[in-house]
Amino acid sequence: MPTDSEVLIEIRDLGKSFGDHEVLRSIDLDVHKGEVISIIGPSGCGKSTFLRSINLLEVPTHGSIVFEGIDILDPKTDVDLLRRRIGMVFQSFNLFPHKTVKENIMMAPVKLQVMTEGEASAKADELLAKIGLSDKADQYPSRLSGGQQQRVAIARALAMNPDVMLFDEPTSALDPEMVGEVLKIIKDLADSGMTMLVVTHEMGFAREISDRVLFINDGTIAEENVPEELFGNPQNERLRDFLSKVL
Amino acid sequence: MQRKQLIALVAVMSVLCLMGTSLCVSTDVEAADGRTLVVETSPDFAPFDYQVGKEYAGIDMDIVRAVCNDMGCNVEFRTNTFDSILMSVPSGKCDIGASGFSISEERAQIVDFSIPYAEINQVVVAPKDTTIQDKEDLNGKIISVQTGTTGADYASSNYDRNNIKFQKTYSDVLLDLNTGKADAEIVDSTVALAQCAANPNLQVLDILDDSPVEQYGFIFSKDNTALRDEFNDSLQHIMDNGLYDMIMEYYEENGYSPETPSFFTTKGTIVVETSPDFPPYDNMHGQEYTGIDMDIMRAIGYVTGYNIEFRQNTFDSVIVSVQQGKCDVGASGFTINDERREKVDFTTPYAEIHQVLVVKEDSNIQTKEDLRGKTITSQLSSSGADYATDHLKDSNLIQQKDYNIALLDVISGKAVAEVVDNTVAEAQVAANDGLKILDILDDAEVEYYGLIIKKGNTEMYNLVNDALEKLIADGTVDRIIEYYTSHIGEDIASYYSGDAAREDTGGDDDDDDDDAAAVGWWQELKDRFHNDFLKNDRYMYIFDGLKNTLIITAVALVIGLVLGSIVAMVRSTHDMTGKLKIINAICHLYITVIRGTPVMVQLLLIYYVVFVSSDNGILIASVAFGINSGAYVAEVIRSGITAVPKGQMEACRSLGMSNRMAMTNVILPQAFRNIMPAIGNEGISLLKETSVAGYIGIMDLTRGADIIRGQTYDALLPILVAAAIYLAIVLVLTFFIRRLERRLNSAY
Ligand SMILES: Nc1ncnc2c1ncn2[C@@H]1O[C@H](COP(=O)(O)OP(=O)(O)OP(=O)(O)O)[C@@H](O)[C@H]1O
Ligand SMILES: [Mg+2]
Repeated sequence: MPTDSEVLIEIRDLGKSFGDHEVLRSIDLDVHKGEVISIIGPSGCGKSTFLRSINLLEVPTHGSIVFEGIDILDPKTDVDLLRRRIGMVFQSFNLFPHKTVKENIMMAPVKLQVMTEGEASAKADELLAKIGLSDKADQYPSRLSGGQQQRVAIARALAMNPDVMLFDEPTSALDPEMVGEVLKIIKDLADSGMTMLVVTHEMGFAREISDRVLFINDGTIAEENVPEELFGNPQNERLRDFLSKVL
Repeated sequence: MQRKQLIALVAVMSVLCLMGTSLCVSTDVEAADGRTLVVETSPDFAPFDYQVGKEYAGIDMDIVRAVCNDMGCNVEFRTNTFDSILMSVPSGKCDIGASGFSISEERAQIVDFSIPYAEINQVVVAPKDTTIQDKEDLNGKIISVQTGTTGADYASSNYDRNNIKFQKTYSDVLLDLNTGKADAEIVDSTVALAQCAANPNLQVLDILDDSPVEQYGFIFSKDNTALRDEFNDSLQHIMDNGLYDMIMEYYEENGYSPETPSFFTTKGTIVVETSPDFPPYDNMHGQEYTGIDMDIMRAIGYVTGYNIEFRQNTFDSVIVSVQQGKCDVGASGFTINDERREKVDFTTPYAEIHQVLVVKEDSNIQTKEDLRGKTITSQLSSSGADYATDHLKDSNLIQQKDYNIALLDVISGKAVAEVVDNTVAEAQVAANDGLKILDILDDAEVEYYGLIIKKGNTEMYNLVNDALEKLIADGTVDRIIEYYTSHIGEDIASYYSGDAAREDTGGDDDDDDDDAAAVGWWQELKDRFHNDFLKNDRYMYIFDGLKNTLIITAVALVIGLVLGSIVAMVRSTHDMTGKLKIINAICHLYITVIRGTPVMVQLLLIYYVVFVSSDNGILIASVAFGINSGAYVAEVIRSGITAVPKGQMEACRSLGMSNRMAMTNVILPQAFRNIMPAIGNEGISLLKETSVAGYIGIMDLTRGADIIRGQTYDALLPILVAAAIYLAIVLVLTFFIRRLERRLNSAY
């Protein structure tokens, strides 16, 4: 797979503690352009913390993250500018309830003046068509099902034309019958060549879309491999244990 | 939609305020009925009519001012020539002519005269070294007169015309005398005095015993006898109560000099505070401050030439106000004692009283010893309370905010006796059935009442005390006290007010028609309602009070919103980013202190400590309640912001939006929905909390009802009405808050 293509994110010795509680000890990872990486691991092992460190929703305790050649931990770096290029999708959707679906999608590009109203509107229409929710453009989020809301949240992140997408358990809050529609969107996105990091409990899905799967345990990447190897021939004992529980 | 709701809310508040204001406008003008009488004069006849600068001065002008004030109407003076006024009045171009018109048969054909207000005869003015001694001596002498005057008429009919010089003006006449061109002048007695005052070499010789005695009267149209009669009543009243004499004395003392400004020209204002719930010393009659203290102050105003402005405050607070210079004089039946002497200066005493007991008629208390172990009551900080604390140690003393509540203790049986000054006791017993006075406190010291003035303010002290001593010496104080003590227990107008005259003579139009049968609870309730609200326009206390309550609430809410928003922003910013540490600490302290202390204590602190130099009670109260409200509003806003899920901010930030952008576009609009109803509720509690504003002397709705109680002794009805008004406002506000809430909730 494209391991030889350009490195988009270079993570070295990343650590994060909440007070005394050391959640991440030391993580090293190169994310290549166009790569799709799944992150798995037991609950509370720090998957979300790791993902949120990448766009600085959590500030790492130590280590370095270089994104597109910029040291994002450098105090001089404009974090807001950086975040425009990193899309994020949350487990709990976090749509803006007081705005319509279309307004949700258009808000950031317009307010940040990266697009005009017209451009943002066209972009929103295009994204809505892609996620199959053109008819819901003027609805408030509270009128949408969970699956529909998460699809809008994905569209909202995509509206900023990010270089990388971070998904934090995008389907965990959904009723089972809605999981499929969201996963399909993510898969389409992966197929279109988007660089993605996906924290997920859907092992089948991880296996299907990933170029690489990371297993986080004890604050480090305990094992990483192509999905066939990682799932088919797990080396780490904890991973075997974990897989035996979830599969 | 949200904005519309807000506008609606603001609109309702302002309509309520306007309602309050417009209902009260009429009382702000001094004249109760807003009438203005146009008075024409020819201001060239000192000391009766002249001008000092633009101001009309002179005996006529000031009597007209005094009478019109007594009638309760405004005056507008206009200049006209003497002859033209005699045409202007009958044609109705003006209401009154006041220009030294002597009353004559001829003039009485075309105009009506008031009762005479001045009497003039003709006198001789001659140099001090003249040989003239009686009217015969004038034969052969050169006599100078002003053409057209009574003096000219008299001279030409009694002396040789060849010896008479007819001059155009008094100045020419005086020139004749001073240059020796004439030996004597024949002239009106008052004008003569003025001339001699200005020319020390001249003297008045009152030797023309056969000269006609003229009387001056004001003139009215023959078509307006009602105005004339009303004017006459008030003129008689100011003659009776001594104001007329004060005016006349004033001009005499100033030597009838045409430089003398109007008696009513104020040299300044003396601000007087009182607790108007202590008849017969301090009371209200409708909107008018009445009582012995108040009228003594009015008389002091007349004597000193100062305008007296009355304000009300609670008894205790009056002393503090005087100490802090928020007012010039405290006049509220203050007993002179050493403790108070340390805080303020006392004037010469003007009244003498001692403590008695008020008990029920069937009380079996006969001696002081009978009070042992019983509950007694008195007004907080009053001499009665002091006496009880010192001499009735074995009794259980209740101290009430005012002596009316203390009396209610006796009536309701909560206390067996009230300890109170004898004058108040007489008023209370006269006004309430089934009570009697026990004059058995033989060890109670005789007390003296004095006015209080800030220590060290010798200028004010001398001004007031000199005037007071003069009024005591000339019997004015006695007359005032006599007036009130002969009407004890009645609700009477000021000694100096026109209402006093009218009520004395024509009281039959008041509520004496009550005896027209129809008893029963309904009639009684109607009577109480009439007495509490309609009589003497007492409803104005409720309206004025309501206006003040609404103003204070609205202004305080605005201040609270602004302050609260700022504090909430600081606190939230600190919560989210950790910045603004010091300001946040200050805000935190502010919220802790405000929420940890009673609003009334805050109000008193702000009034007496922070705003020592200001006496704008409404403003201070608004600020105090605003500061108080700000703390609650801040927490409402902060919790409204906190209630917005954390993920909202994270979603914004993950899209690259700044903290501020996220706040304005996402967090605050959502917080608004949580905040608005809570702000509305804050407004409602604020409205109710303002009811303690009375403690700094503001007449809010509660205090207004309180004052009515103090006047009518009706303990319940005024409070019930106040409660109903509060409730009505709260229900209206609640309705709008509910609607707003529903609208907000259905928005998304
Ligand atoms: N803001 C925080 N303060 C303190 N501890 C935190 C904070 N956020 C996360 N943690 C702790 O860090 C650890 C890792 O949390 P994280 O949410 O990254 O786990 P996770 O792997 O995503 O788990 P899950 O699969 O349940 O989502 C947990 O023990 C959690 O309690
Ligand atoms: Mg997680």
